[in-house]
Amino acid sequence: MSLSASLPLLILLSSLVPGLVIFLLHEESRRLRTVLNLLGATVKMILVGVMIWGVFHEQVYETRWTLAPGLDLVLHADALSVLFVSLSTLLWLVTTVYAIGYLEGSPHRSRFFGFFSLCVTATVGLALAGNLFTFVVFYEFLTLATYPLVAHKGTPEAIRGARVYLAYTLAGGMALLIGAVWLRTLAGPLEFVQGGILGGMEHLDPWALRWIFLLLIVGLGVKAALVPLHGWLPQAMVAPAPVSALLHAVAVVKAGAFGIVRVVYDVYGVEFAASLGVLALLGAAAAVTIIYGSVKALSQDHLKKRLAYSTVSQVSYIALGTAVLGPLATIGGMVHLVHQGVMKITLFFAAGNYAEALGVHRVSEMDGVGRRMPGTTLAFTVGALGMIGIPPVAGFVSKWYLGLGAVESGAAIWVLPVLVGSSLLNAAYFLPILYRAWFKQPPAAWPGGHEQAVGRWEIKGALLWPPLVTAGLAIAAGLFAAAPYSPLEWARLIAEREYSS
Amino acid sequence: MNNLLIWPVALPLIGSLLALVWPRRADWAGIGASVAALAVAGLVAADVMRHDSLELAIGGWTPGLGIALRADGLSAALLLMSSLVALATAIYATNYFTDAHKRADFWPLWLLLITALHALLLSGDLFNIYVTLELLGLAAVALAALGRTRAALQAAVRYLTVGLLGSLAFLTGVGLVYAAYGTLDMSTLAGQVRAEPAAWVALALMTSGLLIKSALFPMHFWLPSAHANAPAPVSAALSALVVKAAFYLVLRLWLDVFDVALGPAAAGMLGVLGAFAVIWGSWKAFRAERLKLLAAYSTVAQIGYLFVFLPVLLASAPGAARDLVFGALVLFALTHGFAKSAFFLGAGVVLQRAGHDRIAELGGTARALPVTTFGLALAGIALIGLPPSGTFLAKWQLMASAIEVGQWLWIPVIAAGSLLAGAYVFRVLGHAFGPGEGVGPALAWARQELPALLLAVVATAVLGLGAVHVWSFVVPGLAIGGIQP
Amino acid sequence: MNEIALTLVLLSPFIAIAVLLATSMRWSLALAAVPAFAAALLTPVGSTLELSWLLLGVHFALDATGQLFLLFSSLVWLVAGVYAAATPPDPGRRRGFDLFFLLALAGNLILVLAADMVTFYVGFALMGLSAYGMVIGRRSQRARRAGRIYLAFTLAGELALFSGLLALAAAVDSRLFADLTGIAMPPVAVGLLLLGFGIKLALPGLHLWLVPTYTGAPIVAVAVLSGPMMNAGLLGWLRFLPSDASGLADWGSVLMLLGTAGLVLGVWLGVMQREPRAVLAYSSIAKMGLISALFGTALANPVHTAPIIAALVLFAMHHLLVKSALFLGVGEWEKRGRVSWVMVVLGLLALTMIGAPFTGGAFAKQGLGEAVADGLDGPAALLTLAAIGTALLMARFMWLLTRPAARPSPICRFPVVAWLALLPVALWAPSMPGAIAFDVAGLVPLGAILAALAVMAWMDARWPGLWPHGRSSDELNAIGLALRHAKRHLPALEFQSARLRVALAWPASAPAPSQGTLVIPGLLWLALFLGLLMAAVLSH
Repeated sequence: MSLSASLPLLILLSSLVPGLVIFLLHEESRRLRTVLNLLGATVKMILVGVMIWGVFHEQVYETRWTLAPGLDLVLHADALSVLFVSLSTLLWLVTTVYAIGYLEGSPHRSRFFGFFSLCVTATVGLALAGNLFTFVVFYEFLTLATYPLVAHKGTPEAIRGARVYLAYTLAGGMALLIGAVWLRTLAGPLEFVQGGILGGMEHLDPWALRWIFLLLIVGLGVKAALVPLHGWLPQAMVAPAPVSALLHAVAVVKAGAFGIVRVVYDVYGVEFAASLGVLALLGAAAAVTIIYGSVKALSQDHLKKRLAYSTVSQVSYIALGTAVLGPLATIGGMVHLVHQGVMKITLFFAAGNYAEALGVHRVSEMDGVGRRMPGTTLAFTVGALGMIGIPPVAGFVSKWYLGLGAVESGAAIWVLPVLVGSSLLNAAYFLPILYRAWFKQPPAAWPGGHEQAVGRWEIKGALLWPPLVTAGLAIAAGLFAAAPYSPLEWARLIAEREYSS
Repeated sequence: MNNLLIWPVALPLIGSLLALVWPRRADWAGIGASVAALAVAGLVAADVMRHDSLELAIGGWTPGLGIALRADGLSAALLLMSSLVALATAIYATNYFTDAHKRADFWPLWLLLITALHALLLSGDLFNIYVTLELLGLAAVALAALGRTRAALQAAVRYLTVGLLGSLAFLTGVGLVYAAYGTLDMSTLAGQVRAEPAAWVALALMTSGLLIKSALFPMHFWLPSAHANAPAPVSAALSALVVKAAFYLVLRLWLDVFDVALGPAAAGMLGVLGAFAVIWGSWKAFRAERLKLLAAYSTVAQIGYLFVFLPVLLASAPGAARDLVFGALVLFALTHGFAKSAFFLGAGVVLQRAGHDRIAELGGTARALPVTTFGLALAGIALIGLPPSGTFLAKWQLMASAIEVGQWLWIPVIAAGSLLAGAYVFRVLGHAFGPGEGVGPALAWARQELPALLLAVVATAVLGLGAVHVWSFVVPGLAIGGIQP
Repeated sequence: MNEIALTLVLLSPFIAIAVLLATSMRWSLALAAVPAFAAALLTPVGSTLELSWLLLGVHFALDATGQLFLLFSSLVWLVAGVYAAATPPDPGRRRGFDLFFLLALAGNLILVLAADMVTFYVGFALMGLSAYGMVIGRRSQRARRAGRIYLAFTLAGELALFSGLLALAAAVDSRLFADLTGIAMPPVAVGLLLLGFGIKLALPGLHLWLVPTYTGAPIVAVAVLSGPMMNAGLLGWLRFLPSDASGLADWGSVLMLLGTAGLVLGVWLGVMQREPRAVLAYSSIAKMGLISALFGTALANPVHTAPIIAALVLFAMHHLLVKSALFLGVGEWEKRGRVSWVMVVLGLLALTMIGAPFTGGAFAKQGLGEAVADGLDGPAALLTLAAIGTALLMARFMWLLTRPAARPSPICRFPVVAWLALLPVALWAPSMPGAIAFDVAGLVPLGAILAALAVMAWMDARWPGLWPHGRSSDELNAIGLALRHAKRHLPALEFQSARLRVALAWPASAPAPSQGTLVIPGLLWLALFLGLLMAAVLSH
């Protein structure tokens, strides 16, 4: 098999194989597990690096495997998939380091890391999916791989959260499946093609296409947490911190958003979708979600819940960028795919650190944590400011392009108020946290009671460095947005390719 | 002249006799016969792949008088599946029965069941089929009663009476056919049957009999208690294989023999019943309090899917479109066979370890029996129809064809059934992941836990990723690589 | 070479932060603005710096307007830096203040030198948001409330600005200020920009943050807020709304009316205040109202645009300097009480503020007067009105200074030196040496101030307790009180405002104001005014 045919598969295997091997490892073989984890992540990084270079130079990478007559499992690398693959690979590495530190000494680590790797495999599979069928396959796979992670703690609360998660995602998966099957019978194999495939088929009934779009978006919207399909996300925050981090930044939520992008751009074609009038629907859903998520976040005292509602809101920026016609909005949506991931993972890492080191779970308990854990709080601050959209953190760049795209396409009348309103709301629920953390007096005793012996740093290195690194990335992505190979430049490349075809 | 076809029937029979006369070595006889049967089934399959179909007239009599054995893609695929499931179950069974008496009773009956099943799959004429069907039913009842509990005996008796009713109806139909057409050989019959009252009545009789045996809603009432109260290996075989044998016959009769006598309404009716079965079975499974009962009701639902295939299959244009559905149907049946047997075996392990199988009290199972839990999860994935299992692809194709022929009714049924399946499977897993006592060794009893896992892996991974071979095996003419809408 | 100079100017606050973090040398606060000051004097106009890889591509340039802003701003920052550095730190608290101080400085320098919209916005946001950390200073309840209000308004401003920027950038397809000349401005963009910068400039209705902030924040923070930061809003208008762009005339009229309202409101509410800081705050509102009105005039009358704006910039620079110096002086007064030399210096500053003869104020006002002289009766009248109003405010200010200061606290000598060093500049800039003018008109406000003082003295003697001592109340308090009053009758409001309060962690019980009765009519009037205005604009 040539490299161009095997590279996508290798990228998939680089997390699948370690994951499967880890299942078989004894609980106590810690070192071997760590080595496997990091080895897999590193190998994947290298392979993805090769792929980035290749895709930039218009190399074709495709693995194809016929599953059933007319149904091919296709792994294909294009600019969009590379964007998502590199995001998930990078954040997987960081999260693995974090998880190794976080779970040290807790039971069932083999199971955890096994499913963790499977989860990443599914995400990467989603990213590389070359047609809608493959996408559906990995979409369901992701549902399954994540369930044990959400339920990992085994407490009644965790089980309940996992159940809610599953109820939503399975139902969503079913809607997606029906939509995909229907579309498949109408339009043949749904290979993802830049510029879309349906636009060229004139014999199709537009109403059927609209209904299918609705089904697909409902299916994808569950994972992307579009209101009113978002109910599972705040429940799923019972998962361990690394899982929440990955869930909110890369794996599940982003998979839905990514799917929406795929469907709109590479199946329907954004111009054709606009001519069908379905983008307005998507845009309305995204707008409602953005505002609703922010408003709900305001009243949450539980830190992770507040972050979860913030995710609900932020991820819909991607959908919003997709729903607005025009390359600039596309850039904004695409680049937010990366930016939101980096920023939100930072926030969840930090939340995990607070819980781990101090037993702080609630916003109302966060008085003075900045004094006690300056590094973590610094990272949290960067993430929060980025979410609000304050330069030079990455979130600003996304909002800039979204707004610019909205003005360009004439949709400013409703997009700008949404952007502005959500930024205000973001500020309203993040800034009080920052205020408490930095400017209030710490309490005499932390809720956790026991203070961990920490040595030199505020918390052990494996927990401190990941948020700092991702916070650094969030700043770098904003500060050097115009530099080559930055997420913004890559998003621009995608937009160019989407609109030129 | 090909003598190969005799062996899948003969080998288990020989094993059965050996186990009868030599009870202390019964394990060896059982395993040996199962391995040998599997090997022969493999050879049959390979031959079928080469020649499309095989035929053997025992004793040299021409078909119509003597006993004809036939194998085509459908029967060879089911044969392979059943011998594989039988082997895995047999391995499991070696460690299951601790009571020597039960063990001595089990093996001959078990091998007889396999014999009957294989004979049924390979039979080419209706009378033989009746005989094997009866044999199969009796062996199944005897095995189901092996649990010796009061509930098991009651269930077995009900199974027996209901089964007899089914057989009787079938036999009457067979008699009618013989009276009308003078032959029972199916390939001969296929050329003679016309759309006329005799054929209709005969078909209705036979089909209704078979529907009882395949436990299609609302004739499913006997199944849950019988399957749930039987010993685990028996339940596995009953749910995965025996029920499917009846469905196989329906398929044979409808497609190969009586296809000209059929109207769309009949198929539609079966489809509607299947739809009810899907919903009702899944719902009851969801509400079930015990693991094995859940699995049994799940069988009711899954059989329902098979019947939902029928109207779609018959409405599809003969040729590629119909072949696609047919392949999907076989794929579904195969996957369900593997998955359900895996599920029952896993349930058996849980039952033996915990002493009960009450779902609400399964907490800690994931910790104590990780391999079995994993096996249950994999089997569950296939039952729900999630990728990469074979059922996923089969359901995809079913929905696609249903849309194509305009039978939208099935879409919500399939969706609801799948979601309910998700609900009942993950209800089990949710409890299994819950808090509970102690942490056991990773792999408690290899001989008990591994068969279930392997069967589940076949259902989810092997059949899923290699599904295309099922199509090419069952419907050889189908262009696989080509892209058809 | 010039590029290096600009780079140094921009980097110096960050270097100072590094130094501060590494060595705790607080002198870096003062030194951070030195390169900027030097560059304003030495670097030739027209220097540029381009960093295309940074953010969305960053452009800096030093033009004539920028040079003025840089010069005066950095001077105030420098003095404020000395002041801050020499003030003894609160144990454990000070570093936060210092960091925010330097960040705000960085933001200010970035925006002054910015040659493209995004860079300007980045600097503006950095400055505005960092100032929050300065406002909350000692974390007294008052300071924290001030911080919250400040932050809410600032954020709203940032977002309005952001949206306006987007609209503008999309319309011209460029981010460079240079490309804005002569274009047709999209009305949405203009509206949003006026709004965004208007918050910083405390246009009436958008000014509610100003008084709580100026009365609650540490004096150093107020000094830079009232000076360089407030004027950044004006720079924003100048940059984003180039006078030769079309489509601005109507907006100019709106701005004229709004500015006038600000002037009236500032004077009227200002003279009723009980704290010197509050009076100065309202004086800022009034002054900015005047500046806005004149800027509006410039937009509305393209013929006069260039001279008005040139004069306006000088006028603003003058105000920047004097107001900062005044606040620093109030700080001294608060610490020392009625020390005579402090009073004298403050008096001098007040004189230059009202444009008394032989001061820089007179020069700046004269320049403005000349610019609007021919054919613009309205603005000319406005100038006179403003002069009298300012005089009244300064009279009230001086009157309040004669009372004992609230809280004597430890004195530090060095900052005073810096403050006094600023004095001559504040007094005579921006008049060039030898150009000090004598104008009879300058005597009018002087007369007003004396008359007002006399009236106040008489009233105070006649009705003691008419102006009670203590804290000023601000309009937000009054609004809160009114809302609480209204809530008794409107239960639905209760729910909404409770939500909002949770959201913003609003204090459940603000100190009960006694002057609310004064403020509510003011606001009602304002609403009426704006309503009429809107009606007029719409029917137009």
